Amino acid sequence: MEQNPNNHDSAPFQRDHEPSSDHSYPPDQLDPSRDLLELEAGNNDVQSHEKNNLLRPLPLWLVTLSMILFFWAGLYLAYYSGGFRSNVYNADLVAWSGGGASAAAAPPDLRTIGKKVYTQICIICHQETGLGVPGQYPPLVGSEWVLSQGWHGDNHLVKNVLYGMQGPVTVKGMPYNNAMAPWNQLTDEQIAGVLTYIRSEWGNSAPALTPEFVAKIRASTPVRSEAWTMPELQAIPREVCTPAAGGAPAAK
Amino acid sequence: MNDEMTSSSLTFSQILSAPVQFPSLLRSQIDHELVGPVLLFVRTSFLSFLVGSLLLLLCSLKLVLPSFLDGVNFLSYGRLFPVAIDLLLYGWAIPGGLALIFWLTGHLSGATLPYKRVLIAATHLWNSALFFGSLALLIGYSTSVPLLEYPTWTSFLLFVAFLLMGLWVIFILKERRSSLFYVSQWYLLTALAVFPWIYGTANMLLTWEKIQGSAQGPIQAWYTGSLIQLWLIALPLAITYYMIPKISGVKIYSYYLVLVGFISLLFFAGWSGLSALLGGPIPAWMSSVGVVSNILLFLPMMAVVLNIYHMFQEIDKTTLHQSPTLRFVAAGMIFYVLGSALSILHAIPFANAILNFTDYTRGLFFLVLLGSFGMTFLGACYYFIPRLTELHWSSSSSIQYHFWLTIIGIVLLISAMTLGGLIEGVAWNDPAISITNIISYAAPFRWLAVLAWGLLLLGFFFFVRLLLLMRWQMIEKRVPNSL
Repeated sequence: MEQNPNNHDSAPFQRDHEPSSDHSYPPDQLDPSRDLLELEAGNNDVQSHEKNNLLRPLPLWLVTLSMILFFWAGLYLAYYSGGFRSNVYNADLVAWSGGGASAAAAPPDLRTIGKKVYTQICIICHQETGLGVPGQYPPLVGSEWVLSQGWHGDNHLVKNVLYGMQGPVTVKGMPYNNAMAPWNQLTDEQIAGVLTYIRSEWGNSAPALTPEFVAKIRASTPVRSEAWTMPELQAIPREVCTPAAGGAPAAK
Repeated sequence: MNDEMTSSSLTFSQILSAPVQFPSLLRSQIDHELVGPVLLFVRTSFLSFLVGSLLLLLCSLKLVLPSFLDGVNFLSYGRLFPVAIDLLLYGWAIPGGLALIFWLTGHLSGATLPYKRVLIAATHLWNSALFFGSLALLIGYSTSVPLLEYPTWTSFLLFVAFLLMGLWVIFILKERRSSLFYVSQWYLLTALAVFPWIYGTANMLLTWEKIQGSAQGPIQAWYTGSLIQLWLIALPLAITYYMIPKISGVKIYSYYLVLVGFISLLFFAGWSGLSALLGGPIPAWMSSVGVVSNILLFLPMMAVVLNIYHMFQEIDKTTLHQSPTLRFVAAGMIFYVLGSALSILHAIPFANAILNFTDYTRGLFFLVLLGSFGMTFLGACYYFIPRLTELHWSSSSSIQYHFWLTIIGIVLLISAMTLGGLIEGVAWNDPAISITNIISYAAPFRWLAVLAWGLLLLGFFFFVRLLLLMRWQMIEKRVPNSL
């Protein structure tokens, strides 16, 4: 301890099993200039700032880096904050309006809504590939039901989703005999979304269906407790969703 | 005592004018008055650490051997884990930090202790609330809010006890004789002011008078984030900025850097916890702000690292080798940097989708608790306990064993939990892998965690040995304040 008076911290050391010769640890043996920190006190003295660290400037690269980080933070919040609205839970579904909190949310993309509905509901039978299960669940890919070909109209497709199907049906020339559940609890937007999605996915390319068209078909179809059969649907005249009939699609 | 005061009063005019020099007599007087309350809390803190980490060893064993201690209600994992983690937090980190705040505030203010009985009563209140709260948790009375599990009466008593202690620190500041407000005190007072605020608010909204369910998640996340940044990280920074100049005589490298680090930590700390709820049922802006804050916490970390790096370069090597405090503090700062990096990774949405809800999250918390806070706190203990008791550490080899076993334990624990968590996360995201398989993938890493807790405890026993040897010296010398 005596040999190294500058080293205060190691002072209370003793080697193992070495009898402690100096039990007292008088605090006043400390170097007073180093105690209570007041080697820093000199820093308070503005006149002496040249020889201490008070006014040492920040490194330039740190300032630059913080600017870049703040800029990135602004961008990130612009894209992923949902406009700081309390009712936006998934920023991916909301395009950034660029405005303040009062700006209306941009209408969500129908296909995005549809994909969500499809992966939650339809995927169980019709599969991720839209090919269904041979002999059990009919395919959606290239299906005349989905693409509104032949006697099939857009109205049949909507009615199908609203109240389900049962009994024997023919899809792409193959017979199926199974049941599809009714989904009239879905909103017009969700039904339009999921139909738009299946009509434009996996190589399908039929025009989008609008929520207004779905609303029109829903209103004109009497509420029923039974699912449709193929002959019942075939008896209903074919209708097609046109921008004139249902307004322009809201999808971007 | 009065004689001492008058004898030193000659220098008071010097004290009030910078540069400040406190008479050594005053210093020993401060220590003499602080020794009781500080050692009381230090003892609470070490006992809690011992019990808490023993329980965590049991918990980690139960994760790999589910049948271990099966059928004993109060030793089930669901009860043991909250007891253990709360002991580490409210029994070790907070009382330990408070002991430090008392000691450092006393020294940096140069004020003797007013209303000492209030302080001692408050520490006893805290300790008994802690003891009975832990018992209540073991019996099964838990609020089941993470980190706020204690029953309402316990959390209320802890809150009141903390307020009393906080008031006491304000009294001491009122009496201070130094016109300087040193940087360590910025962090100490922030921690002291923030804890009752966040603990009171979180308990008020989550346990005392429950708010609607959808708001509970964000509040709990806010509490955890603030606690980590403004207690478990703010205190190590206070210790570091105090110990390095004190022991080595090296000045703080740049005050602007300290200022930038301090302000930016304050600014982003409260938001940082929200990133834990990424993808959860909360408004999108909350988790996005959490992500941004976590990544911007890189700035205070960088400011601290730059400052400390330059300071360590000026320290002469023999001091660094001989001082256990400096070594512990340096290790704590390295763990702080590592923890910042891992928490930034945890906040990136892409990585979070894999890492959240795995051992990674918990490992990150242990890294801050044991690594950043624990190492610097132990370093400070190596410094202030001998000065308070006026006794020596009686074995340098025990200090070595303590240091290295703790380091190896923490590194092993964190590597096992983060890497194991990564593998778990990747497996969870693959629907083809069954849950049984995922658990079997995680098992080797969890065995490593058991080993790590064992090493940590072994290291701590060397520290306990040092404390007991010191206590023996006290009994021999008939020093009244027992450790």
